[in-house]
Amino acid sequence: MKRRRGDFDLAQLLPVAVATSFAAVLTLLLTFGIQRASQLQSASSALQLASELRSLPQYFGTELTLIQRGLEARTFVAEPITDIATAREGFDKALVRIDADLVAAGLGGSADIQRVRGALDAAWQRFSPLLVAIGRHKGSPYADTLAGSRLNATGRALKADVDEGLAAQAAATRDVGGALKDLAGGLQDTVGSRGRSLRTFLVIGAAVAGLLLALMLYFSLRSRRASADARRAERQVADILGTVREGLFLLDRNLALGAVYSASLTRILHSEIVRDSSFEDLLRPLVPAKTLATAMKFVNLLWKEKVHEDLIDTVNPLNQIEVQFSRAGGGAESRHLSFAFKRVKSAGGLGEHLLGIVTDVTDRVQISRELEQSKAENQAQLDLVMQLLQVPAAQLQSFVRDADMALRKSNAILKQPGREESELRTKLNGVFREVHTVKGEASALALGSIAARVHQLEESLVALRDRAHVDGNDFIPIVVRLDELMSYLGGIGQFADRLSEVQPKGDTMKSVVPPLLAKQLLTTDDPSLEQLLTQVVREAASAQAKRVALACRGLDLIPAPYRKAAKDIAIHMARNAVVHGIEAPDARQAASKPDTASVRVSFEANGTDGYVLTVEDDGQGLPFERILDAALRKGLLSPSDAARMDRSAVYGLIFRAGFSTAEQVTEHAGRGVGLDAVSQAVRELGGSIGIATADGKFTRFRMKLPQPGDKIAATHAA
Amino acid sequence: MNAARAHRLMIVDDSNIMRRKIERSQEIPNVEIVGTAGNGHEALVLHASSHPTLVTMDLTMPEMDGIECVEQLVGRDPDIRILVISALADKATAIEALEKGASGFLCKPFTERQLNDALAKLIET
Repeated sequence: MKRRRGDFDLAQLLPVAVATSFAAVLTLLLTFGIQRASQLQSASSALQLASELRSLPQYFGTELTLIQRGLEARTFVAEPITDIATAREGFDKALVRIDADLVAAGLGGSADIQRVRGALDAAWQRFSPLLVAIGRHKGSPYADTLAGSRLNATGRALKADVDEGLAAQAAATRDVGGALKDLAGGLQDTVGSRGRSLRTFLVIGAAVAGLLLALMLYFSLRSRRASADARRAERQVADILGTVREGLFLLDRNLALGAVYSASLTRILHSEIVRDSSFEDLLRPLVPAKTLATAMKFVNLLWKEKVHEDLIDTVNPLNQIEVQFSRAGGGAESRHLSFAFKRVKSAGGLGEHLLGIVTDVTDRVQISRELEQSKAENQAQLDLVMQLLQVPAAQLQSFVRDADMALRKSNAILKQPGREESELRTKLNGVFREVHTVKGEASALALGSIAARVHQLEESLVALRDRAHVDGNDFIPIVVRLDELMSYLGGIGQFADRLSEVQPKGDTMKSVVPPLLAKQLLTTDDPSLEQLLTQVVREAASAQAKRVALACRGLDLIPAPYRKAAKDIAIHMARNAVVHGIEAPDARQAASKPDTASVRVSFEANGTDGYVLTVEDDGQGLPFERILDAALRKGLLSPSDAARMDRSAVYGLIFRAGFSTAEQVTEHAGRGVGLDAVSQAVRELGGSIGIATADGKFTRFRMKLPQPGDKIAATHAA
Repeated sequence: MNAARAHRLMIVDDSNIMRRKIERSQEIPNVEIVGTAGNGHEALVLHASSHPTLVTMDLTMPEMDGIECVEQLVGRDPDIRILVISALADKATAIEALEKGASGFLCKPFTERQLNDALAKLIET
């Protein structure tokens, strides 16, 4: 298929060259033939004249005798005299014509012919003047006398000339006739030879014509075969282009699309290819303007001889692009396309074209994404199992029980009557608090995978809360997610149950549990609040890159009715202290405070009135300005309210639903639900919260709780 | 190019570690490393004194960035072969360097083999 330009031209030119040279030879042959034929004609004409002239000397003899006899018988002789003159002139003219014919026959230069012609002239010149003399005699040759008619002077002169002519006639007949015979003989030879050469030319000409015909036949046959080959090749190319899955096309130096491209191109690009369109036109509807500009620059690089095409593969901006095609039935379909470009090389370096190859790689991209996703899922499963194994079964069971309860409570909240916007928002905040608590506990047990799952649910609650308007229908996805989360936790509960069966009491998987933690966990099935707080503080501090020491006091004195609530409150408050209270390490350093911050949690009797749960940190104190800013930003109060509020009222804002000063939402803080939940819990127990803080020094929360028996009374009183 | 004459390689990168890595990885037989430069100005000075035929060029450098340096080097020696080495954050910048006269691009991070393949192709360009 590959043929060089030079070969192609030569093959085309050969038949033309051969035919032309043959035609030239043929023309030459025919020209010679025509010339020979005309020479032959002239020679024949001369031959005929010469033959006719041979009888004339005899004729002159007869006429001279007629004059002689006439003169003797005194009869009328003018007629033979005229005849002689006419014949003599005819002889002269014939000689002139013979000379012309000889020249035309190409014999003007023939020595033999000219010699014979010279002899004829000489013989005729000896005889001709005698005949001329006879013609000069005018008037009657007779004179009438009494004695009868006799010759007069003219008659006598005439008679003398006739006698002289007759005397010369025999010699003239011999000489002129002989010369004419020789001439005729010579001409006969010439005619013969000219005729033979004419035949030869014609034979050669016929042969050349035949050969030419044969050659023309051969070339036409060959060209038909070549064009049949070309047609077959064209069909084969069409078959390839029609079948190949890739979109193949050619680009010239102006990046215009070639006329030939594969059928897949239109399928892959979801559009017809407009004739004479450019690659840029083709690409424009598919990619953003910036990508288009970069892509055109990239493709043009391939025309730079200095650039190695293999070394720029990685910068191809069309290597994998996502494009949107509008679907026939409306809507759009997203596909991934991959464009590649290859130089089409020719013998002398860069060719005239680039080959473009476009492939629809959507399936490949999807498969690799699914693969990554399933890898991530597997990893998540593995992570979850590792995390679950680090927690004692009983503790895990307790967590699942609490979480299940919280989620059921959420469900119950959602099912409460009330479809007004404000009621919906109240429900949302209620669910939020429950979910946030579950997340907190999951984090406390270092169950990162579960915390992440709960975090997702929390995200969708936040999204809903941030909307301008909420509607009962918006809660449907929340219910579904809650349900999913419950069955997920159910699975973990089963795992915990099975784990408790295989785990001997008081034993955990020593190999995967850090020794210190394992020792703590081994002491009791249900971990103490102190152990939980230690974990919470450790987790939060390491996520925040802070160093925090926890000190606990009196936590084992918490009466049973308060254990669950005190646990939730202490976990929230301790995490809050680490995240919000304690400064970043550099800020502590700048303030000349100890590197390791301290968080203290204590529970003690408050005289006879009940108990006090205190959570205190030596951090930055409550940031008055930031609390005010955040409350204004979130629309929790108006600027005029803000102006009226005193310090303690501002601090009270941090217990309002939806309040948070944290810049970023993380798993650990920033939801604005923690203190809200604490305040709710304390109120439910009939207690109150007191705040003491000093800028840059400390923050202390004191949760006062009544005697367990007083709770009902306190609630009623409120 | 004359086979007997060695190709002269200049390494331009502001990272000491990267310069060392290229120096150590390079194992094409007739390539001789004539020097390393830590920024565009040093590269131009080194070019004037040691006339490299091949260059590996980092794109982001202090003083004079890789693109400008490519432009200047090509302006001095149109036949110089430059391999741009950079992380593939911005394809447009890499393409710009190629438009200014670099011959190829190698994406960071790269293996020894990828570097040697790229240098071999750079020589045959």
